[in-house]
Amino acid sequence: MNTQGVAKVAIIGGGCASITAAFELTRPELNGRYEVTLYQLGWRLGGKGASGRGPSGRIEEHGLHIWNGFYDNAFRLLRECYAELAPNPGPFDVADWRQAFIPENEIGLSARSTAEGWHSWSACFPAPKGLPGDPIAPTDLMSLPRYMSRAIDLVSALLRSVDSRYAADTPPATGLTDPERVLSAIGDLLGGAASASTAVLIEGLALLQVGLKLVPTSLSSPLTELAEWIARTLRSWFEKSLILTPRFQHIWEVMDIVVATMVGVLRFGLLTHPRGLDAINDYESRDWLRMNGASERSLQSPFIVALYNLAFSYADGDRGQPSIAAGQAVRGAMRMFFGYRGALFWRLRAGMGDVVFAPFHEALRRRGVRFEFFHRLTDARIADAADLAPGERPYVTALEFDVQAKVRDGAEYSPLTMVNGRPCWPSTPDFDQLEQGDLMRAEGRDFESHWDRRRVGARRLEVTRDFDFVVLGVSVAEVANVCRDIIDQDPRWRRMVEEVKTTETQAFQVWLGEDLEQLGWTASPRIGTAHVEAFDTWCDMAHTVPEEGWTHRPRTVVYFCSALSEAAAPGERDDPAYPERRREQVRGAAINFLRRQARALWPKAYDAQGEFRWEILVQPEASETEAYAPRQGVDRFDSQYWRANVNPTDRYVLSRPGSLKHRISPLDITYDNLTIAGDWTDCGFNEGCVEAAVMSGRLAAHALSGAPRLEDIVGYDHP
Amino acid sequence: MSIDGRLSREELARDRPIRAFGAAAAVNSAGESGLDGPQKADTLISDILKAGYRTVEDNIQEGRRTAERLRAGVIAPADNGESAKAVANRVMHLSKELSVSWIELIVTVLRDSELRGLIDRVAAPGRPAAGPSEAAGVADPGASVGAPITHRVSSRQPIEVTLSALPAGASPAIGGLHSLNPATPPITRVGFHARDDGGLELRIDIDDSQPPGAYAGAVVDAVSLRPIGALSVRILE
Repeated sequence: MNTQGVAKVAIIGGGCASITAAFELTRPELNGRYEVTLYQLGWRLGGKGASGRGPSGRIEEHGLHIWNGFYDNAFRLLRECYAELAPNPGPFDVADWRQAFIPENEIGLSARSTAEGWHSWSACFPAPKGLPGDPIAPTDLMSLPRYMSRAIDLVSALLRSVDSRYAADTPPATGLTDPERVLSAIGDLLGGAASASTAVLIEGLALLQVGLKLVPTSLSSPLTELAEWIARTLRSWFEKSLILTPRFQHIWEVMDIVVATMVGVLRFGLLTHPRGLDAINDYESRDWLRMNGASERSLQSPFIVALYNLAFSYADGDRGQPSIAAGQAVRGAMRMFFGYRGALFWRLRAGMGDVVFAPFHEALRRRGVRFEFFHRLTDARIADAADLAPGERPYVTALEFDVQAKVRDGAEYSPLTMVNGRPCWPSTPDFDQLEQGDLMRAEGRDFESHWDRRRVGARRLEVTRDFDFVVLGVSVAEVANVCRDIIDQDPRWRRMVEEVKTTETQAFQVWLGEDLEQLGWTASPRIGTAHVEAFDTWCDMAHTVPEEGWTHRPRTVVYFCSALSEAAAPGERDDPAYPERRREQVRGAAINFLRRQARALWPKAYDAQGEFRWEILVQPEASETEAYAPRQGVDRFDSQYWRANVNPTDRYVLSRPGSLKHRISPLDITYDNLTIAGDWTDCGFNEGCVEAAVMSGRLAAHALSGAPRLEDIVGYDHP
Repeated sequence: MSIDGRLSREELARDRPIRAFGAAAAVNSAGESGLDGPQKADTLISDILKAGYRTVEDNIQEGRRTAERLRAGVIAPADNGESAKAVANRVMHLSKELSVSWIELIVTVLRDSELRGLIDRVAAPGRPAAGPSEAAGVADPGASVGAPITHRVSSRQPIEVTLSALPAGASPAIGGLHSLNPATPPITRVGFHARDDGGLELRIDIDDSQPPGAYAGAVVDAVSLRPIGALSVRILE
């Protein structure tokens, strides 16, 4: 403890959660109570969201990062960061955060059809008022009844879209005074003027809502009966009345899932359950929907597959093992579809590193946060129980690091590079700043690799002397490696690292000399999922090309990603050649994808012999190295970018049934001077994403400082 | 806090999210307004009632106009479908708003002992929460819903009274009827009273100075303190 009463905080890791914790703890309102040092493996911030600039200044990502319109915490912090830098922006383009994102309300879904091969279905979502990160009025807070009301709205709208006799843009209701008159008016006014079947369903939906008023003392049973009646009638109506065209089929599937969810919410008493949706987290999502009447056809629909794909929700990366806890899945879907503002999705105009982490790095640096790059945590030591005073909680006594590299002349490492006038993170470290940098470059040191343990020294930080508090912001897959004392003696932590599973992921990017229309893509959506097995999710990122450093720009760049099936045999991951072997597998899968499966997307990308036209791949212009020497044929793929996210720090965190109760909250106080941060913690929204990480980082800050208030963490108090 | 020179974390007020949405709404409402305790609960109930009945207030006239147009044959047969569609959709929207307000009110009250206490105090003004049977507006001991509820209204102004169906065996109580306009005084002289035949009588006394408009209030069971229905009164101009 220093004499000024300033607490020294060591933050381990530089992902979204850690950056958030640093930002919260150094807010001016806290009057410098916390002196923050962030220790980062390798040369760049970002964790799973790190990106870099490669040859031709091209953006190289871990995967496809799209922000959802309900990421209120993430957007709020980023907006605050931009606003803080704006008066003195320097080279940062922070005048308007909206320039850093592109709203996207259309998503494409694809499904296999025996008659037609793959067919696509695009869904366009309305743009509700407001922007993500705007203050949320208490009246806008979401509750399960409100979600159910929105769900009824959705079903009604879909019904109207099927039956054109019901206008989709009918003005908002005006009406009557009491339920009996409402029911009477429906019967009197509709008469025989409308389709009886549709009228019955619309009446049923109204009855569901009116029923809530009619039977206030006995909430569950009659409402459940009404919802089940609607579900039965809807299913019967659909199968009798509609031709199974793909369009109507998908509308039906969405309605079926929504209605099954409504039935389940009522059947399981979730409206009043003290645990909210957590009460059903031991069920697998599809199983729970099936229990509540969803059809097998709907459960296999592209709508459901998309929800799984977007969260890589497959045990061991195996598409045969879809796995996500039902409560979190429902929560995620409700937030995603009924909680977004401005747009359903927001695409980043440049890389995550450029749009997010570079500005945060600058803002934090201006606030006095110190960054210690090239520091790999190897162990967090805990005080011996025998040394604790009565009533004293265990605490971290020391942090031990491998120092991967030292900066020449003891200087501070300057991590950013300039591309098109914008400060960016490079894809490789700036070896010129490092002692023995030429040698390290020649040796091909990979500072981010779990398997490359080369170091130039070690460092030990001691409690009180070097730090007072610790924010552990490494990924859960790394916790067992760096918290051995805790894992040895604490069954809760042991259970957490055993039960909170992660999966490897894969990604590739191709820069193309022809745009998607030229390649035969005729649909409008630029985000697609539920597609083909190897790489199920893709996004056209043409808007990022001008941000790159090309002299002759490609027409577009397309990102692909998916879970990576775990093929590892016991002990295989101990093999230093494992990451390269996996990377080679991803390369092979990507080439195979382009040769065969991409035909469903880009039929004109193939020549008369049916071979993929490899020449449409644009090679980097900076071909001074062997790696980017001009290539022909399939070898041309080697000029593109791909990666296997197999490092423990890169693995995606899953929300498997039965596992979420084993997560530990950043608010947990078992260890007196230690809190945790990351999308693997019990942070209120327990699903791997930027928003969860930011929420966790805010909770970690609250655990140390009491700020922000829990009520100000959007979505933390949520069913 | 410091232990032998080592800084220690402070205990937190809570370490987990509020998942029960009623409680969460109360917390957030308090956080925004700075209210707490009974004042918070009072505000919450008031807001819910206002939100619910604002829709009623706004839409009664429209519903009547539509019905009158139909009765008067203003709507041509060819137009019937379109008008019917519009009315049906309006009806759906209205019922949705009402049901959302109701379900929030009900679940909030059921889950929150503080709110139940408040309801009791509202139902029994001027006396402690326990023992509601003596309070104004509460049915006499032994009286319960079973036979039809008769109405006795004292008002010089024309009014409409709507009482939702109440469950048999309940002992209804009501504390007052509130307007959408916070500046408008509530109707407080309202209550259920036992008849000689064992049934119930709803008595409503309205001052001449009571402004026209819609007034509403929750009916609770005097024994279980759970909400069982609603009473609305509309004073016509």
